[in-house]
Amino acid sequence: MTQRIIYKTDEGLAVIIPSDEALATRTIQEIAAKDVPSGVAYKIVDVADIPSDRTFRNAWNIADSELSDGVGADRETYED
Amino acid sequence: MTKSNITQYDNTAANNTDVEDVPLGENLMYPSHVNNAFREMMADLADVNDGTVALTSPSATALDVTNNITVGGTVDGRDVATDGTKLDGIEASATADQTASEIKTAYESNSDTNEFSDAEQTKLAGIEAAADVTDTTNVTAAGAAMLTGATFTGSITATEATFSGNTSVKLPAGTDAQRPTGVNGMLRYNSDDDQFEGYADGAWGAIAGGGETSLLEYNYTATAGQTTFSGADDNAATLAYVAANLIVTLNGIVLENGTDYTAANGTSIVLTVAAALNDELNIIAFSSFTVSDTVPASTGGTFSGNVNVTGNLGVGTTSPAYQIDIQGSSTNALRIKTSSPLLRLEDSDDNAHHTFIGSSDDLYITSDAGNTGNGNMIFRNGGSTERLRIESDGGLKHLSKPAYFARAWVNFNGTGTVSVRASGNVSSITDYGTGYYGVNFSAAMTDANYAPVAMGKPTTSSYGQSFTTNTHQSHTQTTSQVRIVNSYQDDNSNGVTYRDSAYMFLAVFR
Repeated sequence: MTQRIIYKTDEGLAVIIPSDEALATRTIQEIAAKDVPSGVAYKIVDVADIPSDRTFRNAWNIADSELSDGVGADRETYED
Repeated sequence: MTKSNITQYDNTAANNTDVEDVPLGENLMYPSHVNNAFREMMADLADVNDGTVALTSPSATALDVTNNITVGGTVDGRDVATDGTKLDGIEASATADQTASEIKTAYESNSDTNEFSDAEQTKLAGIEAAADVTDTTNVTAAGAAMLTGATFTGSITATEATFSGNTSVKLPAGTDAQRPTGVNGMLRYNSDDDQFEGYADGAWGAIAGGGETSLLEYNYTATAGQTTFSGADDNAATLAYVAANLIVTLNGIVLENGTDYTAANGTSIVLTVAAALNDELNIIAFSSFTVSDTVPASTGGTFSGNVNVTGNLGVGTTSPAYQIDIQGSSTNALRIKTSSPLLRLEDSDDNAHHTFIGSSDDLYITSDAGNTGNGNMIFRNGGSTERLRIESDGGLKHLSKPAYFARAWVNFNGTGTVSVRASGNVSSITDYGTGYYGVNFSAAMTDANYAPVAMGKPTTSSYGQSFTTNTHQSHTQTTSQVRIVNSYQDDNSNGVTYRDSAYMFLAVFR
């Protein structure tokens, strides 16, 4: 779990934390494609890039231009 | 001499003293007589002219004849007419004598010339000088066979054959696979079955059992009081038998084994009651029989075709109660070792079938392998009581005592660097904000009507504070995600806020 997937919602910045069981069989890109809402751009970052201080968690934000690693599909299953 | 014609004229003028008796002597002629003499001479010449007198020994350097020449005799001794006819028979273009080749061809075209043609000469030249019909090598090379000691390499067809020797006749030997197309009357030796066989009435059948006789007969003439009969019989045959394969008669009466006699050791017969002098003891000893194309019960074998058992088949039991009845104390009584699937179970009432498939170390048990229906997998006990069912959609039900299992669960840390400690069927956690998380399922729920149960461990514990963990109040759970929040309220009625929790738990039931 050294990476995270980030994307923007109406409520702020969402951070996806992949589970070990998912990473055992899937890539983080496949997890992003499944779990990021459909049509929403996302970026894959190192876990160190996410602040561990959550005091102002709800104020986290990111420029849209940074979300350049893909677009979610919000699938019920992985795409084989 | 009278000169009557010109043939009588003399070449010497002085000798011609008259003409037709007209004197031509000197001083004897008078002018009137001379005239007459000349007339006679003219008359003679006229005779020559008309042929009355033939001219002989004419001499001329050239002779011109306008018309045909016809002679009544020969010319220079030749019959000109006969020779002319012969010349007419010569071909018009004949220019020379026939060549030797023409003469040869014409000659050889005649029959019975008693001469050899070139082909015959060549054939004769190919025969060795000392050729004779007693040279086996030459006869064999010529494709023939000697009367004695010959080997025929092809088929021999004869109306009948008589073998007058006293050794044997060897028949063709071969395997079952080498059998020829059967024709009634064929005989051969079957090397697979080690027996002679013949073709009759459309099928091959054994003629004898591998060289063994089917039965042996022994005849003994008893001495007074004799009870044991063994060794050489009256015909010098030594008694040998297989116990229980016997018919024993005494003076024509069949004896009962065990009562009237004992036969156990294979080499002697012991009568219960001693025989009288000259009693006739006859023993018929049957040999074992072999039957063509069968599998021996004692030693086993292989059936190469299908085997249909109309009754039950017992393994380890002589009284099978089921179509296949395996009994015994050995482990692994039944082994199925094939390529996949190992076992196919098929319902005779419909087309559904079920399989057991081995793949490496895994075993796959499949209900409705043909995917023709629902394909539930049901476990029962106590007769026909259903205890556990795996439904076609993957649902697991324990019907007799219902038990349902979590379809997903997760334990995660919602503080600091949010992380998942452990999970089942959860692909990820979405951190939406302080105390607000989404749980994403690896495999989607069947529908959204599942029951999520969420709990969180309070971060502090003070009087008047309360923590609750619920699903998000405004988010509708979907088949792929449910959102949960960890709420906090203090005792100052400052309202509810979300707060992170280091221990968040969720289980989903359906």
